[in-house]
Amino acid sequence: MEESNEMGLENTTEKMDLNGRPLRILVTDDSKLLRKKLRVELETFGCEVLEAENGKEAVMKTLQDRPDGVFLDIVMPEVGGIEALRVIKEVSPELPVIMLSSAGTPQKLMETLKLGALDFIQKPYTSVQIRKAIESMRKKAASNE
Amino acid sequence: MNSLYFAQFLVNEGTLDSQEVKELLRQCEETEPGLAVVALAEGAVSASKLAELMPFEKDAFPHLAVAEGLLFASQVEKLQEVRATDGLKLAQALLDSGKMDFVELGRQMAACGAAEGSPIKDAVRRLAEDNEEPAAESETYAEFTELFMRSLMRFMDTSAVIDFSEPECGGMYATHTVSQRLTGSVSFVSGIYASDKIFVEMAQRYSREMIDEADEMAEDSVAEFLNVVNGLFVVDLGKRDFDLDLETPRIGKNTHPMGSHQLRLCVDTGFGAFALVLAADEFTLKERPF
Repeated sequence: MEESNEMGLENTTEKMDLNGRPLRILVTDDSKLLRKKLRVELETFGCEVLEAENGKEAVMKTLQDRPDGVFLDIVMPEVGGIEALRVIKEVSPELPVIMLSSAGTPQKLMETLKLGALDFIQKPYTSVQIRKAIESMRKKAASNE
Repeated sequence: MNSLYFAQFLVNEGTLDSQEVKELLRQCEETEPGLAVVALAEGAVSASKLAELMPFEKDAFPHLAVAEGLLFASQVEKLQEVRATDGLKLAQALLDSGKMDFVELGRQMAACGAAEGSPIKDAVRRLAEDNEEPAAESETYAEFTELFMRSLMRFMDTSAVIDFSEPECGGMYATHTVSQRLTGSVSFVSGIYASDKIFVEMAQRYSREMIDEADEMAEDSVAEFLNVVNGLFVVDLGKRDFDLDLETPRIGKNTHPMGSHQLRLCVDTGFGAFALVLAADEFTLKERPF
């Protein structure tokens, strides 16, 4: 049975892999708390988790570590999420990127979807939303391989 | 009864003063409403019938109500399934403290149910007017504060009210401020100004982590809470075609918020009081550290 809370701790223990290896997910958020909570959540699905504190770091880690999917906040210092999304999509057009942000206005949704984001999750997220997000990242990543 | 805002209704009406409400909210943290209070709020038993039955033990009421023919056993079962809302906890605390009897409680619950508008918005409008804020700012602040208070109750699991006293945060020392600017069609800065003790409690309640000092994780947790609330506000306004952006949150230690058109609201909760600060411009100097 699934449980869902708004910060997202409990969940199923279903593992999601990509052709027998762990799914590698990059979590980008300037909040240490958010990164910590999301890491716990993703690790329960057997994901390997990478972290970035801002958009600049997200772009660098995308190039260096080749994640299978990226969670991207919008409101971040130095380089924000929309700028980072633009660059990531230029260098890795097929990489699934899901926006995870408090700033989910219709305008931001439209802008990020036009830039190629796979989905947009409004904070606070639920465990169910994260599980669905990983599943869609896994499908997209599998089709890219 | 609009049970979410029962406490605010009583404060607005002058039925409870600042000290009384602080004490009652503390009591609410450890109070579970009895079935008599639930039955009264749901209109299943009248206040006068309950008064006639007095005195009775809180836990004895379900049995007594069936024995006296006030409720069917099936009604008792249904009432026992009603969620213990903040308003019901407050009603029980009012009875337990002797501040009200069933008759007075029933009267106040009915008055709260019949009241139009939002008690939170009314409180903010009144304070904004005292502060001589322009009507546009006053409405924005009122709308934001209602969402903030709902989020506070939801994410920090506490009852909360705006009281009309000056917020006390222990002066300028051992305090923390977190603020975030919203820009665009509507522009203002919202912030939380609290003593370190309350700040840590807020961080702990929001993050569900063990946090025992006002460290980076505490700052991060309260900043994230504010970011989430501001985000919800921005989304609400976005549905009405207002386009707003959020800036990154700022953190201040031992500072005193001084913004223009600033409204400092005293927020009482079950774990203590802090100030919700709303202003036209930024009042915290430092950005969130990395």
